[in-house]
Amino acid sequence: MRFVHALQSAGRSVVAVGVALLTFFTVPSLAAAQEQEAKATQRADVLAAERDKKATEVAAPERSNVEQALYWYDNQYLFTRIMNGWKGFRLASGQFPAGAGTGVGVGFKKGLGSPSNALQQPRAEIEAIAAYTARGYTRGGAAFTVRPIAGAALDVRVSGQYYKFPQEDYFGPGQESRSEDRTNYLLESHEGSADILWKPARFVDLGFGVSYLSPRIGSGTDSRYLSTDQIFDAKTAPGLDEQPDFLRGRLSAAFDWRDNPLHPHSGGRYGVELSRYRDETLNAYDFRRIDIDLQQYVPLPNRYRTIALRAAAVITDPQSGNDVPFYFQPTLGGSRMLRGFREFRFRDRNSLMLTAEYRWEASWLLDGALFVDAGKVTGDRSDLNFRDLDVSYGFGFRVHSNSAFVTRLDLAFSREGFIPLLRFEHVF
Amino acid sequence: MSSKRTLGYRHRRAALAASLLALGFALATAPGIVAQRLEKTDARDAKRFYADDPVWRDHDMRDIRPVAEFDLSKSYEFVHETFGESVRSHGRALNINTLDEVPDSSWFTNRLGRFDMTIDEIVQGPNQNDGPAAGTWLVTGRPDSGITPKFSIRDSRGDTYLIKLDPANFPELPSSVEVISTKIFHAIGYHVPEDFIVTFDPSQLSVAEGAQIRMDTGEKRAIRISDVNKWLEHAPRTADGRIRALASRWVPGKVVGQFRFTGTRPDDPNDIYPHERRRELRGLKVFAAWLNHDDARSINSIDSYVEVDGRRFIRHYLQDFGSNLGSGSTSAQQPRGGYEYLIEGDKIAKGLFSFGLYRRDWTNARYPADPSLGNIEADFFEPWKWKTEYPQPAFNQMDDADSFWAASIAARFTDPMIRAIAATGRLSNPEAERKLTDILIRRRNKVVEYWITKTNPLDRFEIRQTAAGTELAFDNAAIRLQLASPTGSYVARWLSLDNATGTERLNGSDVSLAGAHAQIPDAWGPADPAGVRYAVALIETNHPDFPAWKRPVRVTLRNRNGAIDVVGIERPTGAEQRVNATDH
Repeated sequence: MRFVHALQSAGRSVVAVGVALLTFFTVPSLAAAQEQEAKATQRADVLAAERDKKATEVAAPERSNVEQALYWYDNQYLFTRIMNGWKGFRLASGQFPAGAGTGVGVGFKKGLGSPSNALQQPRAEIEAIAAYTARGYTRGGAAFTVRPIAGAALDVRVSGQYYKFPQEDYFGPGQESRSEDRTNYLLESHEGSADILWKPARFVDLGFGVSYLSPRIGSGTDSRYLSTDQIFDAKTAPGLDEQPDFLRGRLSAAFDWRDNPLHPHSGGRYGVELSRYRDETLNAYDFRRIDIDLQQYVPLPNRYRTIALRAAAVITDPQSGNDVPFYFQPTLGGSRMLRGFREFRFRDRNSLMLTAEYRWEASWLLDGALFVDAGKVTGDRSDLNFRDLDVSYGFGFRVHSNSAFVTRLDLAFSREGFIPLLRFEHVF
Repeated sequence: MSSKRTLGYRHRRAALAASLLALGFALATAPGIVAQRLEKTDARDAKRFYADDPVWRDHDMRDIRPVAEFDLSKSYEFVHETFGESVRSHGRALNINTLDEVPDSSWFTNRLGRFDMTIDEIVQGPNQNDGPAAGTWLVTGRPDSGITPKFSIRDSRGDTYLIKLDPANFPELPSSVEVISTKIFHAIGYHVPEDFIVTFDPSQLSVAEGAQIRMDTGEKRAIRISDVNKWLEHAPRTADGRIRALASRWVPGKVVGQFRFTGTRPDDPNDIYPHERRRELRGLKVFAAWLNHDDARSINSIDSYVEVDGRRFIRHYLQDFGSNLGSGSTSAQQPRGGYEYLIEGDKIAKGLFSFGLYRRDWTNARYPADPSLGNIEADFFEPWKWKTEYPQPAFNQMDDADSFWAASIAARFTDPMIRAIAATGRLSNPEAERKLTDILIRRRNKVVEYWITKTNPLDRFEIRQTAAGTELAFDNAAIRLQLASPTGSYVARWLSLDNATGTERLNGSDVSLAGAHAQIPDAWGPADPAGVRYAVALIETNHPDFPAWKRPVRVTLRNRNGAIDVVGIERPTGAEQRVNATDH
């Protein structure tokens, strides 16, 4: 033990002396540098001494933790991988209606005949998507697009999809429907389509398409509300009891002179779509439908403030003795139409909606907005006028880049209360 | 045992005491050493002048060992400077000589500011040849940094160039502003790449063996000629179908990263001045404002390990001027550019909660309609309002002395020089070139006027022999440049200087000068061991329109056995109060 203690004691002494020696040898060298500087007659010598000293202290540059994380982010292409995908696979939203719940989706997109990162879209493209939400909303689909055709700005697209929306809301027909009558139903459909999109001139878009639709209605799965078939019947919800297959043909035309369709400040878009739904199995639900969507953007003295105006109307016209199934009727409510009301709050054969929105640029990435919406649904086309419109109003924020819209938060009020609406898409 | 333990304790206590003494000595002296190391300019208690002052060459091009490449994050500086503060060293610029000038270094080479340059020399700029050689250009890669569509080529001489394409809607815009900017920055004294405007036929291009492209997903694959054709698909064409682009020659040496605008590079022994205290980086703000170089940031710089005369060292370059003047690289400059940071919380809040009634004044700026000019103008531009994309630490440290230095160089660009520089942009529309020249001249006028007159603008100090004796003569830059009326007066106060200690003593009372010259009194301080004596003149300028000029310029004279020269000039920085000689 004594020996050990003696060794420890001696060791500590050696360490202490070592520190002292080291310190004495180090400090004089610093002092010498100071002395050298004081004695120096040339500034060049002083600076050379500084550099000599630094040469003894060189170390590799380092990144702080935050910088390290950002450097990693910069070089991992995380955002582009998420947005653009990996080997064609990417996250996909499923494009479900509001209220579908949290979901996850996988998309696949592959260009054929040209590199996937080309500045222009590839000549041909295959796409597929599969998405599912916690509330059971499901979508799966695939499409094949070819462009241009014969050198013209012509896209031909063939697609098919299956979707299942188990908690779609239905409040009953008409503007007088009551919010207490909220029910939900299952909408399920298989669809196959062929579409042609043609852009014959800079501002003009034309479209033609044919689809075969097999919609089916079932009981809603949202236990908070009754299922639609428990309150409503085929009279108050046409098509509730039986659903035919449809052959739908459509023609569309739009004149679009917005300065930037992804974040417009001036110009306008005036579009109309004519659809014919032919009941293929029951001969009870043949109808025509006209969708009119007019948008106008009026820049105030400079481009940093804009009045955005929109008028939209949907008119359906059943063949004699036929009806329009409730699930194909136009709706109002939600983030796109009459924002102070819930999604699908109003539904009937015809609809009219007017919107005025004052937008101002708070910064290059944030706009504020004040808006007022007014609209109605009617069973009879002759009632489609500006009387007895339901009104909603509110304010909102739009996050965008220099050139494109990113997300929109609207806080909307109406006679039925307050609704916050968050969308990751440009509406108008 | 007791005595042994006592002896052991004694040994240890003695060693401990010695250690503490040594540490105490080290702690007491080391900070002093550090403080004097670089900030001697500020120290009044230290030797102020050396025999070789003023130095015009900072020998920071000493041979150093190879350094590893260290790339900066593309986004860190934005995040850090927007939401934090990176500057650790505040005060006057450190890398200046005693005449308040920037010596030549691996960062800067005095050109137009110190010497006369011909228009041909200015137009030649940094370029060592005529650009990519004719013949086949081999596409060697496609850098994924930056937003400009670009790819690299190797010409038949083996030189590598970066080819930057103009955007379809703004033909000639980025390429012209980039070339114009390199001419100006080079004439000022910065290291910049050799840039050329070229036109080429796509058939000139073929893909080099092994050339790769990084996809949007981050993965790499071989470049195909179809890729190249795609890149060129939207590039604007000249009347004869060729593509106009910018060819930027690879800088010499091995690129080892970029430099920060704060701190020093720890693996470069030559780099001893914190970058935020480098005059040429702080004063760069003046030139950046002139040229609307709002993209002046670390990732737009290059550190290159070069070899010159057998010495290997890091040379520092400015690069990527595609967002200068009216250009935004892939479009026109954003109207906000140069007026507002990307993120300014108070302005965003005002903008948001005023419902659009709060308007940034820059929204009133009107820009030329010509797409080859983009969003640049000179009527609304005000130098003091100008900003980079986000706070730039060295720019924010710029003081009046830095800006006077820079503005003095800007003032050296004559109108014919600017006209010739604008022509290097090779705009196809002569009217656009005329407008750009006019804008450049008027913006130059504004930065010169603002920053020259912001501080006491005395310069061109010299010793003259007259019949009455020896006098210190000087000039007033603001009056010379017709930025101020030729009125006002000057007051000199003389002090003797003990250069060994830095002690100054008032000598006589204030002297009102009859003009821009002062008789040198016998105000010399004690001789140093070499027999050299020093005197200091504090010269105020009294001008009715510029009260700030009362802050004196400190001029130090050196008397070497009767041979007198001006060895020191210290300009007011704007931070100090008026000097009272009795304080010394």
